[in-house]
Amino acid sequence: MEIPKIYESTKTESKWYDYWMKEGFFNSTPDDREAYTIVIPPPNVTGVLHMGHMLNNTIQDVLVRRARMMGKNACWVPGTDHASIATEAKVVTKLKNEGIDKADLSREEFLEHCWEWTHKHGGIILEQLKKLGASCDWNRTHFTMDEGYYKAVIQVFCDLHKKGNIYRGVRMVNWDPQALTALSDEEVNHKEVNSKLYYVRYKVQDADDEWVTIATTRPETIMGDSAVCINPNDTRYKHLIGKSVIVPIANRSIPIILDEYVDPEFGTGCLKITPAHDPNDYEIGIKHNLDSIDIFNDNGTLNAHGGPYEGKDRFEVRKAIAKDLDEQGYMVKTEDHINKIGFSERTDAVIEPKLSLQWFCKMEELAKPALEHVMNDDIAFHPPKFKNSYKHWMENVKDWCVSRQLWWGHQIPAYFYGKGINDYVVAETIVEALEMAKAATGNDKLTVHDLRQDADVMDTWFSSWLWPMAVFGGFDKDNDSKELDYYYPTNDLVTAPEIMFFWVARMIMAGYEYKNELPFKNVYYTGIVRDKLGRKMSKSLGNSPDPIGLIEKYGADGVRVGMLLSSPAGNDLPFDSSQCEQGRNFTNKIWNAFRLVKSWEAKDFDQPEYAKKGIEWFENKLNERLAEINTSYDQFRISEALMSTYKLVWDDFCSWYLEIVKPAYLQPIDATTYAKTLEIFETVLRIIHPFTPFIAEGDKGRSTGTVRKRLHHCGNLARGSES
Amino acid sequence: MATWPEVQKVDQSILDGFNFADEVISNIRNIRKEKNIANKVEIELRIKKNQETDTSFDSVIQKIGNISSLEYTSEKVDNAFSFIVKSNEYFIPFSEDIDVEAEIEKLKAELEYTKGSLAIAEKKLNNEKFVAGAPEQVVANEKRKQAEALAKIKVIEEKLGSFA
Repeated sequence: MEIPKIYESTKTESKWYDYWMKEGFFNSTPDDREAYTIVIPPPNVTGVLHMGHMLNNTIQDVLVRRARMMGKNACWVPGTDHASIATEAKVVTKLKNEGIDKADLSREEFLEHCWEWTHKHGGIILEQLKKLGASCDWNRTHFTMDEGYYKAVIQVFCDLHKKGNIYRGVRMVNWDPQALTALSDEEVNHKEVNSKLYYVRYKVQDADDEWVTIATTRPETIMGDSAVCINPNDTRYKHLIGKSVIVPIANRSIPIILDEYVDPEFGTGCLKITPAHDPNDYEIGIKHNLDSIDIFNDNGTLNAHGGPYEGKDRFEVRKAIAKDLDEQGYMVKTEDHINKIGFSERTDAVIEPKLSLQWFCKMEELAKPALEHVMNDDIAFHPPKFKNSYKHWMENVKDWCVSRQLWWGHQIPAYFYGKGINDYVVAETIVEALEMAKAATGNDKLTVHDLRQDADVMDTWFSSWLWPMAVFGGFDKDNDSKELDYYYPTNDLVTAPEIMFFWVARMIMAGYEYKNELPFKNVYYTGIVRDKLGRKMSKSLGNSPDPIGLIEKYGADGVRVGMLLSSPAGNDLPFDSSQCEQGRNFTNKIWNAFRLVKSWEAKDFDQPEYAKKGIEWFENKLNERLAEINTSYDQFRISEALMSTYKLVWDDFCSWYLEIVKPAYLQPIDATTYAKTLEIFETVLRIIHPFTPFIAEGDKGRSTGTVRKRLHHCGNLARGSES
Repeated sequence: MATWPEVQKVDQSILDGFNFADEVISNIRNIRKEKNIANKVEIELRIKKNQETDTSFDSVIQKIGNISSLEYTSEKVDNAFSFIVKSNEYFIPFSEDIDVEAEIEKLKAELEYTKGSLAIAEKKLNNEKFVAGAPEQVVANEKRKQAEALAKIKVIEEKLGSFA
């Protein structure tokens, strides 16, 4: 049979992957070998593969495959995240398109829709990862809403509550008026925007034509004003001390208060205070015992406190009130202004600071070991520059708002037995809750029907922070801890720096809290995949290539090489599909080398001197490269390991070695050199295996030629199987 | 069991020896390229060894360089292309297969042609009316042709010189 001139990646790759799966080469069970463990950063269950996943998972697969070859018991755990807010938003939109309003559904009905959606779209991304060649132990696939995982999350919530680390309280939170939920600080993106600074004058009460001018970017919040604040050292306003002013339009009297918080340089030096709608004003409100007037409904429209503007959206009101203030003579002037505004990471809605009763997780104690063990490199960051921002965040960490006003997720295990805000118990099961409620009330007649579970769910990260432990049954009380003891701490985590705080930091916290141990030894931060122009890839820009399309065109091996050619850890990767082309050329180069060697005919005659010297040189050169490659791997310089591997194949093996030993046209090769060449080829294939696992398998099943047999054999070796 | 290869001890002297051979081979390749000697045309190599250098890869030089005979000599070789690596002198003697005359003829013809191109361009550029009247782009174009021809003439003359 003719060997194809061009390597047929698509056909070959699916054949090999099926074979690997059938033989169970990726499966791992604890044994007496050293474990090497990676847990996948679980992608959103209903997501599809993007270039960031491609980069991230290629690196993980490279590390896992090499560890497997090094004789370690390699275990790469795959899985998906239920992605509370993202999935719920998708389901709500889908229902809306079908004419169904979430508000008309019961919680159970809505969750049924979520599960249906999850089952329909869930797992697509995992199938896509298989196309890339990901050597995960698929029998270990986990989902953050699996029964056991769900229980683990509830257990941790209860435990932290018992320890006093979870509490309920009214705090100023980041409110997303579109998703109708609170968000953590980390879920808010701050962007600079062009806005206007409105100078509005308030009439001083009981005075004749005396006015105070304030400057604000949010004139609609005037309806919620509780005071005007001046700096006590500001001599310009000494005469106002002790007086009151009238809020325009609202026509309410509010006091003038003194606080050094006010910057006399900003605006007019007079600051309106709206405790319900600004985090700083909220603090001042508490300090000065001011009324807190919440003027907004949850969806960002004004409520009854909005007076004439009731029922209208906040941005509409901003325009309307500016016009009214102007017409009624209150507007002094407006100026163009640039300020930073928070946007919801998920919906991109402008965040509304809002007072709200939420669940919080105390961070101070949890953060201490997590900071210490990163700063002392027990957990090594690659590249280490990320330690700086980690440190900054951990030293300034605020309590974590863990409740979300959503339904898709782990429901908060707080059960209310009365009307008061403190009439609740926290328990893992409703049965347990009932006992606690009876004890709390002294009422033995209480039944489960008298209990009402908190409707909110937990922040998605409150489940994924347990990932490295939960996937090994770390919270399963009925199980022995054999798996956890064997695989945990895991070895390497490969993730994007964007989720260093969301996820990495919190896994470290959970690791020390529950195992008193680090969750992983190394964290490899990948860069951001950008387009040729340096822009982040996004759906809306349409600049993100379809990863599966790339694999079909260039082969998984080609794309893997293309992704890694220019992506040193932590640096952005400017991606161009020409890199995948280069990757494909690399696999073709190996293919052509294979065809060349296959075309030789071995005969028994004396080995020429040049061949002997060529072999001697190549064996030394290979070891020099191998040492280089090992060092790069050990230091997580994966791109450099690839470059050395690339040079070994292209320059040393193809351009030099094969040219040296190659017999003259149509002449036979001596048997000694031929056998040695096969051995060398085999070693080279083993070294390329982590990067290009498919081509490294050779060309199984085509014919029974000696070379091929030999290459099948080395394919078997490279695959990580017994042979 | 699948294994990642163990690193074996590297004999640096072998790698050094090869690097030296690599340098010699690069020079041979350059000469083949410059003098239009196809790879399939066998050549001879004479080496005047002025210092002790590694000869262990001579067989590889011979194979890759397609060298019919590699010999050491104490004298300079006339009628040969030459190059130097370290302080050794290398000679590739002219032979029947290396048709020096034909190569010289070819270069001379190319030189004539290029000089002709240069003359045409310079004639135009020396014509004041042309320079004053023609669009700027056209004048620039002629200037470019002039520069290119001059550069090419220099290269050809150098090559011719190397045959002397």
